[in-house]
Amino acid sequence: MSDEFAAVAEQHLDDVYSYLVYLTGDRDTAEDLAAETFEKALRSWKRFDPRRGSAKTWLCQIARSRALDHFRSEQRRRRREDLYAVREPVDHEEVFGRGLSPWLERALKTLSAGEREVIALRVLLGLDAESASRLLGISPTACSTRLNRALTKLEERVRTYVAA
Amino acid sequence: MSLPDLDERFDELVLELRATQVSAPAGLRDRVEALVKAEPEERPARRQRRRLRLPLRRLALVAVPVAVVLAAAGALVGGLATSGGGSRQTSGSLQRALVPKALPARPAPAPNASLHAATGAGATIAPSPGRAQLYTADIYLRVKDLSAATKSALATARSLGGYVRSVNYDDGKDSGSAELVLRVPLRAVQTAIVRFSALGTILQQHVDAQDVQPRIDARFRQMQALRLQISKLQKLPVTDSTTAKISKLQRELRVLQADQARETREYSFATIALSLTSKQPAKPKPQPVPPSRIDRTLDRAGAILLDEAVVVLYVLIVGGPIALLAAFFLAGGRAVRRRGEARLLERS
Repeated sequence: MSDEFAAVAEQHLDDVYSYLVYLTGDRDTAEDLAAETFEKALRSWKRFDPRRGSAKTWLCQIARSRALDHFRSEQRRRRREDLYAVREPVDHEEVFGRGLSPWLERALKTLSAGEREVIALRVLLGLDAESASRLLGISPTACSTRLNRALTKLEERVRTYVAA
Repeated sequence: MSLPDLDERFDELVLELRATQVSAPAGLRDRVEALVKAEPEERPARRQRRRLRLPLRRLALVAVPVAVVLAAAGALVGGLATSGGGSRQTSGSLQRALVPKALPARPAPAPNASLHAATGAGATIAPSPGRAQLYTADIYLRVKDLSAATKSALATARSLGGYVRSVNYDDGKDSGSAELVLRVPLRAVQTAIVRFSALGTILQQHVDAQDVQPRIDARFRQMQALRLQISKLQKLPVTDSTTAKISKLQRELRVLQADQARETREYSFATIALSLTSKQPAKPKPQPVPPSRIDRTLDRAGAILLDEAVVVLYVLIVGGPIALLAAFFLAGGRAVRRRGEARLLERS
């Protein structure tokens, strides 16, 4: 079992990590969540059924669940500390990968986690509309719409930053 | 390398995003490798259990037809078990129902000290020769030709020296009846009954013979005594008193003689009440062919299936709204959770 899981982990580690980076917008958080994701995946590996979906989709589902838990706990912590302001990422930090134009990097940071998530799933990870929609719990049409809107918004922001 | 559901204007953007893949840091890679190495090998039995797990939908896909087949098989077995044997059903009441009633129920004979008989055949009670008897017979016959039978009965009575006391003849379109009261000499009563019986089918017959000889004998003795008294008085000297007594006794003797003569005539004839009918007995309705074992089994199986369907329907009616409510709450809960997640991701 460990061999099978090790192969799957090796194959999809970058995918899960990049998905979590886009979802959280923070590399350190994404690293911690990715580690938790694989820990949880290892414990649940016996429940994985390849007939119901690919290993990548299954791992992303676990990662999303961990990320949502993280967001909830962050929300509670902020409420406790009365820090409602969203933490602004450092402008010079390359969160979404080396080689991205600074305008695209900056535009991505301004998108919401939900918008970055659908971009990560469909564009970066290359999931088809059906798999991504199942993961997000929405219809394939809604998934396509969400992706179009997110990319439109991203493009507009990039244009704005370039013009500025 | 554009996505099929994406506008082409995003191609450049998509290419740029894909060109800058995010790689997991070495630290994360080490952590995951350490995780995998730390996990002990799964026991084979546990592994086997995992492979044997069936998805619920597929299980339902198999379970539903299996349940239907089991229900049908159960109904068939139940029908087979409760349909009973093939030959037992035709005995008893069914066979009794198939036998037509040849004779109507006979009335219970009245308690009588005299001889009497109620028979369905042409049996008779022979009159005792030399003794006075009150002989009556009631014969109920079914005849084919009412008119001919009536005429024949009247002719028979007359030919045997008898006579007709009364006739009541009623012949309708479909059926008719005749009531004859005939007086036949006692010596020929047996012959008469045999001939009457031959006119048709005897439905009922009642013969009653009552011995009245003691009464006749008693009256005779009384008459002899009167005659003796009269004879003794006639030997006495003639006076008004004796003459009056003789007259009185002679009147009494005449009365007794008249009664004796009347009864002797009466008892020398038998009274035969002959009831004739041309009404044919109702044909017994053809009994339905008893169902075969297979038919009974299928009938019972159908009934059991119906019962099962009623139970299923009852469960659906009772459990349906509950299941619907549960599904509604589940779907509602899921929608609320999804919406919460979407809001959370929008704010993050």
